[in-house]
Amino acid sequence: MENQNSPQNSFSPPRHWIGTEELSEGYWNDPKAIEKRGQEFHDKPVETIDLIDKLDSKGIARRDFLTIMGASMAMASFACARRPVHKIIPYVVKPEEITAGVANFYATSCPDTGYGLLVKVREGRPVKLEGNPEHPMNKGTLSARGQAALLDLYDPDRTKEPMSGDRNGNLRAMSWVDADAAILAKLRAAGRVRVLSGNLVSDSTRRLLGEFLAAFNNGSGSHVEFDALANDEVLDGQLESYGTAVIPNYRFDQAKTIISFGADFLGTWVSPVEFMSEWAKRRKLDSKNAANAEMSKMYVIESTMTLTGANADERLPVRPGDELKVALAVAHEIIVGKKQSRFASDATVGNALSGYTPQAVSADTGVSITMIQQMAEELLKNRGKSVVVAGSPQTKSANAVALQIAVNFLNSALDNEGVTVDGTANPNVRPGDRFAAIEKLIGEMKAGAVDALIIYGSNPVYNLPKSAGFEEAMKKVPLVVAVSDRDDETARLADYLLPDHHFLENWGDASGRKGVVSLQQPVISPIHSTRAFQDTLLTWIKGGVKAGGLAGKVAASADAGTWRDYVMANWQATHHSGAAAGFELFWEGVLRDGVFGAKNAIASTSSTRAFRAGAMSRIPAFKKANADEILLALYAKVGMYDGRSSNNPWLQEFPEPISTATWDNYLNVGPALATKLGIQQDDIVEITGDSATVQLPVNVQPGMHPLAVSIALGYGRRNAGKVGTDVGMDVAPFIKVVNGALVYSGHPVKIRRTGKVYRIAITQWHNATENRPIINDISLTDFIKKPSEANETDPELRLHEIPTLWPAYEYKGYRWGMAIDLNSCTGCGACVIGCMAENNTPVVGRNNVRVSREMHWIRLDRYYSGSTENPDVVFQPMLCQHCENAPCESVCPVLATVHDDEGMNSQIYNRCVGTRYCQNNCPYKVRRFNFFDHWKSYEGTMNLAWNPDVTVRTRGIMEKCTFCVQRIRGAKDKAKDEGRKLLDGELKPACQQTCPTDAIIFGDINDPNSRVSQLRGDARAFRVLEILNVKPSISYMTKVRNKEKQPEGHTARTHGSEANAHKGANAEKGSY
Amino acid sequence: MNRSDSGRFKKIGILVGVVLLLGLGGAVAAVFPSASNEGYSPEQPIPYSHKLHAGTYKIQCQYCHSDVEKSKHANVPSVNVCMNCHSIVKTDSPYIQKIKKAYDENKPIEWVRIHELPDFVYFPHKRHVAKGVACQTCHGPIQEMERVYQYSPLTMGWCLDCHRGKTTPKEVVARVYPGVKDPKGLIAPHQCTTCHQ
Repeated sequence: MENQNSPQNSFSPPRHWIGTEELSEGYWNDPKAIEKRGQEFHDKPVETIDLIDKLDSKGIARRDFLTIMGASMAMASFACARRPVHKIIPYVVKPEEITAGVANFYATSCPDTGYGLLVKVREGRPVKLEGNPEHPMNKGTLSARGQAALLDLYDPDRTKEPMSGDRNGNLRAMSWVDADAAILAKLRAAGRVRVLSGNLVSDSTRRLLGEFLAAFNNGSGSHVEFDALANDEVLDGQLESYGTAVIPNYRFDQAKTIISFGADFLGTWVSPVEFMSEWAKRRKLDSKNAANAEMSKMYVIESTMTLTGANADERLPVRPGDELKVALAVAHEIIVGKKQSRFASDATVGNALSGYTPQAVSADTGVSITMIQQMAEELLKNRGKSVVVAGSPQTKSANAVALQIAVNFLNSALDNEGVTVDGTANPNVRPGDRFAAIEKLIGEMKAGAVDALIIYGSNPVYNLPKSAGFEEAMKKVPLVVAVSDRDDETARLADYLLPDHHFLENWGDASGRKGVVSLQQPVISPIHSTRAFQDTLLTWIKGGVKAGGLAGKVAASADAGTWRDYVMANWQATHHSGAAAGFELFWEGVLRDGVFGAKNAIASTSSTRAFRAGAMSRIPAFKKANADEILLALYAKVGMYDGRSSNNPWLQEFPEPISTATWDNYLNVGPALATKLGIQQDDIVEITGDSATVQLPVNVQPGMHPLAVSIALGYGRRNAGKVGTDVGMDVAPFIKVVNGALVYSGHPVKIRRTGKVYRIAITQWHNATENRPIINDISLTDFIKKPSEANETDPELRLHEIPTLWPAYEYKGYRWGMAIDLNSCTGCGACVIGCMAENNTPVVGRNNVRVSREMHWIRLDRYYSGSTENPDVVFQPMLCQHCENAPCESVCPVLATVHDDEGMNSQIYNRCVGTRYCQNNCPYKVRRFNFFDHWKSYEGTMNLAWNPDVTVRTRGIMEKCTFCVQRIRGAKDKAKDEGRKLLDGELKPACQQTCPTDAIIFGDINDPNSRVSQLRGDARAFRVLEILNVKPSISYMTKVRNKEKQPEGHTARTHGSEANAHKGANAEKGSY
Repeated sequence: MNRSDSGRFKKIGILVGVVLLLGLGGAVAAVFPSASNEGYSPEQPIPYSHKLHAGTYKIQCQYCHSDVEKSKHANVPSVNVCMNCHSIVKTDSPYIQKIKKAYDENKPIEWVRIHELPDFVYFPHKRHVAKGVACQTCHGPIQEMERVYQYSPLTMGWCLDCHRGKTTPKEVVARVYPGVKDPKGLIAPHQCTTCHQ
């Protein structure tokens, strides 16, 4: 293998690469570079490693290091003390449903999305979140953010009691009684009350808010919902196109052709978990029936590389704002070019499209005419079976609504409306109020027309740019009450901060979609002296009534007991049909299932809405782009989203799937632009726009348009907590308010080098594969022609029986194995966080990530192929392969890593002495070493989040994926109780459990009928580095792209053998 | 320095080395005594007598340790279980009054833990009880203990002796391997992951 890296006469870069660096000859030939890469372990303390850390002014690295060392010394000196005396403290009266050591699962709902959750509770404390399989939206799965929500509950920086503030960040604790009295007195005197909340999916909360506002001051109050990343433009576009402001339900499972203009529906847009599972249904392939193989074809036109773009069959990078031109060029080709659809003779439509000929758009945007024609043809071929979507902040340029209208037009013209686009389904997920309502509120506040403002679950001071004027306007309001979980940017400027329950401590309901209603129930008693916002409202209503101060109509809520009683009463009135006596049974049933009305919810009764051709007059006339301007797009990351969970260390250290960066935001620049500007990875540049200037490090991101740059939102929090404050830079100042809408994208910027450097903590170069054959992909046409080609693309991948000295293992019972379908893996990273939550994997901090000491057991590898300006992407979850002939086992001097009788490679922590020989010998680089007692960074309440079924590892110990051995033992235990063998699919490790696309399948490979056995025998199955004869228990299923053409350099795995890979890639440049 | 001197120094060196090694060994032994806590019998907040309850009155173990068949833990009973009897029985005892007080004030009793395995060991009572291992096999003559003490060493070697068939009680072998007269070798799971996860 090694000789592959030796100098070749004609250099040819690897077909799959992890960064542009690998495409240069020096990377492979420079002995210094090779030696540096070979440094797998960084043995020096973090602070002595060459870290240029200029933005990190606080010197955290050193301080943390000393703390940790100090703590370790203290531990060492206590070692000779007697064993500590531990207490057993049983309950006074043991609750009937609790058995110590046995977990209970409770169904509840996520108040952000309306997804159903199952919460694993041990002795009264939630330790793991999982999707509720009964829930029709997320179907038992969760995203990375959903998995991480557990840690927010135990966040030590949550506000623990009510506070009064001086509006300048100084807060003083007070009692609930005092807070209620003080606020109520002012509320009763206040004339005009406004409530600003985050987006609500709870019908009961909405109703209660209505009653609260009706009760006070003749009902002169009003309620506005604000969500930083609300899909205003979708609502506006729908309103103009169809007369209804809804967010439709897009049926990706029904679509053979999918075109997304910027909408990151697999990552962050509207309802990603749901969309992912539906999208993946058309990405599953059966090699036995390859001749008839069908797969959806996805085109993504976008300005920054997102998860959706990375999963596209054809991805077309454009400048921010050019999505509209491409959409209209496709429409032009269909309507004007091919004279198709009933709009072909419509004058308004014809006028609107007139300037957008494929030729003009191609010349302007760089998208080839062929591609535009191909998209039009695909769409026409699949009329009524295609879907066109647009959205996400990166498309929110000045023409965001026009883009939505163009997309709606395409869907209507192609008869997708009412089939793949369901405008009646009306998902409640993040509709919110449009920004115009916030602008109106700000206007009122500025004019002194608001007497009291209650802000609930929303952080406008951080999320809105200063130019929106919210902060200034707040000063004009005599009473500001913030209901939040912490003293965030907004709450610090309020008169009162009333800490809210975490959603796992609260009752409620959620309706993520019309016809799907689920209940939210507390799974832990409140940890701090917090109170549900809804109980606060009820207290105030009752207080107002008692004092006789309510002039308005006294709502029924005044009689309600607690918030729970209110939800029950609301459900009895709205959802329960039949005798009142039966309600209790009904309620218990829904509480148990978590969801009501699930069965027929998704098969919605859709009807076709008529497109109003008049809307097309909103389309601006074609205008050539300024070819010198660099345009900035702001986008949301899969983990950090809008920054609401900034204080969640799991999410901060979650490697963003595309850049694999942790702990920071950065400026994404394409390789061509980087060369032009003379900047490199990690250079700090100054980005100057009309409204803001910010300094950020550069991430050279393949697949960016040469005139597009992008920065992630959700960073630079000023008051998030110990973890999230001052991480990255706040880019909200770039957001502009134009005509009552927030413009996130398409801002012209100037980029200037500063000469300073900042190392982004990127994991992609850790455990680099040195061009060994790791990954495999094939085009659909090739797959249909010869399915066996799928894993024969590279002879080096194949193992042709090698004699071995090792005796074969004999497995009498189960033998565990896994299959991972790279075709349906979207790279969303839910498995990474699910694994952390299940297995007590620690967070190590930015500096430790920089020296490849991250502890994630699943590494989500991302490989590029093709041109640097527009590469293909393939993701590969890499975890312990549980080899048959495991190289780690043979080198462990203390037998801490051994083979077990069910085919697993087990790691025994208490035996491990930390030689790290195993890590050194592991060809997959999946072993993780605890350089420090990372668990000590968990303070206070965070310690409640540990999974009690998994050992918490100490310093000096190696760890890695165990196939969730605790789950295997738990499932076997249950099966033994019932006197049977485990059923296939009964047992799921955490990664499989949370995978929204069912890409990970675990099971018994001794059972020839199990799903995993079937998949291992599939023609697409390959094992990584099979040539080493280590015989992994994990099989990967080759990625199949829906492309006519075989990817460039198809058979050239090793550089030098067939030198066409890069040449082909270069030829592609400029005409993607 | 002549040759014999250097030889003497060498001998002294070796001697010092041996002494140091012995000393080190001693120190290690002092620092890390046997992992076993055999015989440990701390005073409890209430001098509950197993001899009286389990021995004299023959109350079933599972009456109090009710989770032993359901969970990995053989739970210490909650106060309400004590009160099942002691709301009537021997209410004049100061200890019973202490229990009643805890019950009335909703303050749990803090028992001192005797049998404790390291945090990296996952031992399930449930599976052992299901296989017919008697409480006394590991906990000794508990029905004769006025104050409970740790009967077995609870070390890994001790666990494995039983799993490997060396010390397995005959009745357990008969139950797990019915009809097999003399099961050979490893008779219970003995993978590392059986106990470590």
